[in-house]
Amino acid sequence: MRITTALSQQLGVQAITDQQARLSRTQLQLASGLKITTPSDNPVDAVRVLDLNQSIASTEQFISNIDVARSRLSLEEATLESAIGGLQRIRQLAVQGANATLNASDRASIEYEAREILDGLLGLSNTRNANGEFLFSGFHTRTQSFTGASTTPPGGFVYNGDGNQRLLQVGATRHIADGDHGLSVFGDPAAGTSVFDVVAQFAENMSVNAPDTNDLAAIDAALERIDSVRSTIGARMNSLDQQTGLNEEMVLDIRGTLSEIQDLDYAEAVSRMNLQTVALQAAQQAYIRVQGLSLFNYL
Amino acid sequence: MTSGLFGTAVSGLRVAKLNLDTVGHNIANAATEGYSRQRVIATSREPQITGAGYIGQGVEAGSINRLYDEFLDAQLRGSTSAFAELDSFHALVSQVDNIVADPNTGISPSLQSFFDAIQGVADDPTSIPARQVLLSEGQNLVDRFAAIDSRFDDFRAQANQQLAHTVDEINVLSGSVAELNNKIVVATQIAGGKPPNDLLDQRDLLIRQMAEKVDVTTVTQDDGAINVFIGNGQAVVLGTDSAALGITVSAADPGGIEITYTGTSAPVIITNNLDGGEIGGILDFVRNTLPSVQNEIGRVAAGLMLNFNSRHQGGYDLTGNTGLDFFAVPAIPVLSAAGNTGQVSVDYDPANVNQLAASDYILERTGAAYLLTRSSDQTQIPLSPGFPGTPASVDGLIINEQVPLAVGDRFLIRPARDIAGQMGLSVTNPDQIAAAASDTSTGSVGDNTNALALAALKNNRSLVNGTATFQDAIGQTVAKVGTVVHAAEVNKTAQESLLTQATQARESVSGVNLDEEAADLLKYQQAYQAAAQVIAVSNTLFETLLGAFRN
Repeated sequence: MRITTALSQQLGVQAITDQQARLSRTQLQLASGLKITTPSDNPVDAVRVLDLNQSIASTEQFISNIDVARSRLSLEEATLESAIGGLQRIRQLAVQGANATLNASDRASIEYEAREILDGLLGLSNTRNANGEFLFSGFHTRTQSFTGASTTPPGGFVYNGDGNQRLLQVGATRHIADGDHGLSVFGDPAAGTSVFDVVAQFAENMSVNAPDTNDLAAIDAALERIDSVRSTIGARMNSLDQQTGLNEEMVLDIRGTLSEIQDLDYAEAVSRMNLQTVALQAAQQAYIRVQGLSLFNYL
Repeated sequence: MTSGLFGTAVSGLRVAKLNLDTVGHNIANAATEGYSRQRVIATSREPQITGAGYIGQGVEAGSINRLYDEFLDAQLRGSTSAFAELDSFHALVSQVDNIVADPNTGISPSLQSFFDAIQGVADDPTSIPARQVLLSEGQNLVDRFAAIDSRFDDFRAQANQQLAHTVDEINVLSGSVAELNNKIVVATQIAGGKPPNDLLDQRDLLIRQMAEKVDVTTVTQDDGAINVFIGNGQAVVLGTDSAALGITVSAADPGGIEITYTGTSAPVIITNNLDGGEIGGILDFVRNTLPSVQNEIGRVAAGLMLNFNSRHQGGYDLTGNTGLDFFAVPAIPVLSAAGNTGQVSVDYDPANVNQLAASDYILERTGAAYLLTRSSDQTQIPLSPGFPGTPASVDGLIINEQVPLAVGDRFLIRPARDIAGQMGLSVTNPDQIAAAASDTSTGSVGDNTNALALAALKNNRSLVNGTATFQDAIGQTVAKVGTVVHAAEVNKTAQESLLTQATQARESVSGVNLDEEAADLLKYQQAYQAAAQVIAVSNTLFETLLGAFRN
């Protein structure tokens, strides 16, 4: 084939610009640390990168939801711990009050202490979280959970919340309750009474110096209910820990996959760049050599 | 005898000089674009009869021709046109490549932040700051959609401008070709049929430049003029006349433009007939790729708003009211063709959001029939007999006749294309976010059930007939654009090597090789010197004869 001067020059320049384009692409990859710089580099992987980033962000959101749930459950657990402590003291008082050797004034002082504890229990049942929400009102979080006072007669305590538990999303398909409503903790669904009624009844019995053996049984039943709620909190906390582990592992796995897809293999890229640099130099030298060849040099 | 030798020598001298001039011209034009090397066609003169037979009378130059192959030139023109089309398409479409997918400015990150903010409200339904964050993220998402949509609009404007510019260039080129036609016809006549090589080269180059703008076909006339046609036979150059192309705003699509041809009659729209060249690439982008991407993003926007709104309306806000629309959904544009007497309205069908298609529609009344055409796949959907008596429910849309349509009435319906740019938030107050599923007027403000349901929309396959989540749909668009750009790159590279081959083929015939010219220079220099020597010898012979008589 007849090669003409203009074409040979053009081909030489094109060889150089092609090499420069390749080099510049590698340079861009090295600068960004990414294999894929635009979706057209690899459309399938580009979409996977988007999806994986979404999964990471979602899972991290679940982890932060778990933190919220955990802090609320911790608060509830601590609250129930105190309530159980109070009730256990009430139980001691009940045992003590049933003693036939006690006189009216002894029982009056027991009544006094029981009413103090009742006041404390009411306070615990109306605990608020950091946002000012009542812990035990179900969905009615801005409504005080229980109304009543240490002097309220038995049966006069009113629950103002509802029977709902708020769920938080802690995994792609998993929800966990961040608390318990007041009825399930302090109420007695069967009797339609509450722990406050039980304590108030006991206090009243003490005030009239008429110990009732039913009091102790009722207190034990209330203790048992609160304790069983406390154990479900423990179980939920365990689930949260487990779910955190799962979520963190998942984020780690996805990050690994993401890195495989999008991160540049530096060793490969650097050696590629060296090769391309050599190729560019060769193209430049070839150009100079070929262009230097002319019959006119010898005329 | 000597006068014969003298004449022969002079003829050699003259042809050698002509050859040297031509070599010089070739060297001078070695780098001239479109130049074809020239060559003197020399023939020996008619011999003279003598007693000994015929004796040669030297050389004469028949003509100066260019080395040119019409087939190779046509091939190069075709390759140029095909490459220019792919090149301009690639340049336009690669701008779109990273827009939807960008990790910082794409839609996905905003969508994720928005749904994270919903989780924030679900975590703390009574927290005003958490609700405020959701409003801000909602606004961010709306802004992001709008920003991307406005980029699309920018691309459309830019492509349209490029189209208008290209049309101007074609007009200039066709004018120049017509002018050259005139010069060539005249020059050929004056030279008694000998070719005006340099003018021919110039004209071929201009036609090749036209082919770079749009596919052309040529027909050569007997007098040497070339007629140039575009589209399906519109003559832009006819002998020494040229016809003007123009640009006009599309009647059917207010955002689009059309190319018109003004021959001997009134301007006609020829956009659909044009192919190849830069115009082909721009049209492909502006009529196919851009609307389809913009429609897909618009469909995600519409689907998101409608799904979110209907779930939001199912809840209760912080102050005991049922949920409002969260997003302000823009009205569906219905563009009425000139001369329509009827009127229709089109609304989204909240019950069938997943059927929304990423497409424009044409609604027309043809006789008794009412026909809806989905532009993306040209599917025709007959609306009658139910319509217009009852509203038609098609592809997630509800079509109502407002004013009875006359036969021939025609409407362009755009349920997706511009929606992303017109989204808004309807909820302005953090209290208005409906996080609760139970009636909050009873006090259940801590209810986050509806917020959880809103958050769950993220993973609902609520688009593309229930096959894709919002993120899936965005991913599909990213993959589609990426694939189109990748294919354009591959096609462009392939066509580029075809173009190089065609250039090489033409160059190998018509191009100047300076080494060759240097050798020719030597050859004709020597011929010239030798012919001069012959004159000297002829002179000596004459002197000898004169000397003989002098003695």
